[in-house]
Amino acid sequence: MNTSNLERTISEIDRDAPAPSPFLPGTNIQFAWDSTSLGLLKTCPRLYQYTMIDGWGSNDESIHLRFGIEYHSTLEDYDRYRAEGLGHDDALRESLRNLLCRIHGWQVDRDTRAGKYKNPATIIALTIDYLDKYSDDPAETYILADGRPAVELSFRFELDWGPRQSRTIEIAQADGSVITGVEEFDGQPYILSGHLDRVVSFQDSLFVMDRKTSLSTLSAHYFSQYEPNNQMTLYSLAAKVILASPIKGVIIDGAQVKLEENHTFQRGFTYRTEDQLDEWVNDLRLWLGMAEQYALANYWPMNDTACDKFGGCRFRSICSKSPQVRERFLASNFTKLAPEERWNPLKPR
Amino acid sequence: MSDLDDFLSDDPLNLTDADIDKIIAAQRKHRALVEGGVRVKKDKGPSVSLDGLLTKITGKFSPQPKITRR
Repeated sequence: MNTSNLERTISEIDRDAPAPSPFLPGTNIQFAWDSTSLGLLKTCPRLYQYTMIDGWGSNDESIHLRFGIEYHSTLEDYDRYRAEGLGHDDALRESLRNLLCRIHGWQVDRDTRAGKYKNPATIIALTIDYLDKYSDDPAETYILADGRPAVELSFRFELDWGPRQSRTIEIAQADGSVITGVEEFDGQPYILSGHLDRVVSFQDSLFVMDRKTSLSTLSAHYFSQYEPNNQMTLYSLAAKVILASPIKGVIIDGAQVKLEENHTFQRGFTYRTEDQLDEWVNDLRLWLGMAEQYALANYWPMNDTACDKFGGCRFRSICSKSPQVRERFLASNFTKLAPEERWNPLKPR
Repeated sequence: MSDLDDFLSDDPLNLTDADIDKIIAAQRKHRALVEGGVRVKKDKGPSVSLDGLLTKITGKFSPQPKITRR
């Protein structure tokens, strides 16, 4: 598949409506994918099952998620205020005011590692430090054709194929009898969705800018994880589709949260060629086909070479148990999220 | 702890521009001190505590009491 054939389809997303399920009705076949759910599948189908299908979550995850959301929202507000013409100090004050209102009453257990680094005080300090550092940002927010700044762009576009769907049909015979058969049909196409933090013009080229908070040192080793990288390739593809403009790649806008020293900020670049985007989409067809097979078999195999990646899988202690006792340990160590609380690529931000 | 607490209300909606500017100034001062080599202990700013300042806004940060076995 050539990515230039992808239709430019930015759907108007109703932020107030409840998010529809990303699964085909009555099945575990996921048709709407974002980089998170696809990353889970690629990392380990069992990790995907526990997270996306079964909905197991943990408190630490919610702290990281909340912190990330507040960080992104504050910088987004700032970018919008600057695009409206406010100066640095005014834009900083107003975006900080919004942050203070949002985190009113946010309680974090600082006895946990996640809570020690990611709490109301550190989010405020981090955002002030970041915005002061980039008050005169050489990367300028791209302004869309309709005049809006390209910040927090939610995208959603259809692929030109979908899960194989079948239905039972009745066929009348000449003798009046009826036989049943199975008919395959083109139903719901696959959807790719996500959010671009910011599109910027930098040195006469367009880049997606993706903001990351990390507890790790922002070294060359840190940035090397983004090349190749599922999320960054999807974002390059998405930006190309929705902006209908050439995109060079992604600027990783890293922020390291520290306790005893000042927070540090570093940017890294990752580039994607047209051929790389085509290759990613071709591979995607196979990945989604596998996801379909796992769903039909109602079985998601364990990738036991991925358990130690990214600081160790959160389900490692579960997978190391004998299969018959895993559910019991899942129930005691994790929380089963209600369907509306689970990760959903169709949930507007 | 600084005197910043004095003018911060419980409701962030009541914060004036000057109140928020004080928070920003406090963080900038903290940053400058650390840059200047002042050693900061975990969760304790050198002279201005964002934590203390925020307690008024977001409520107490202290975690729920833990139940321990005697």
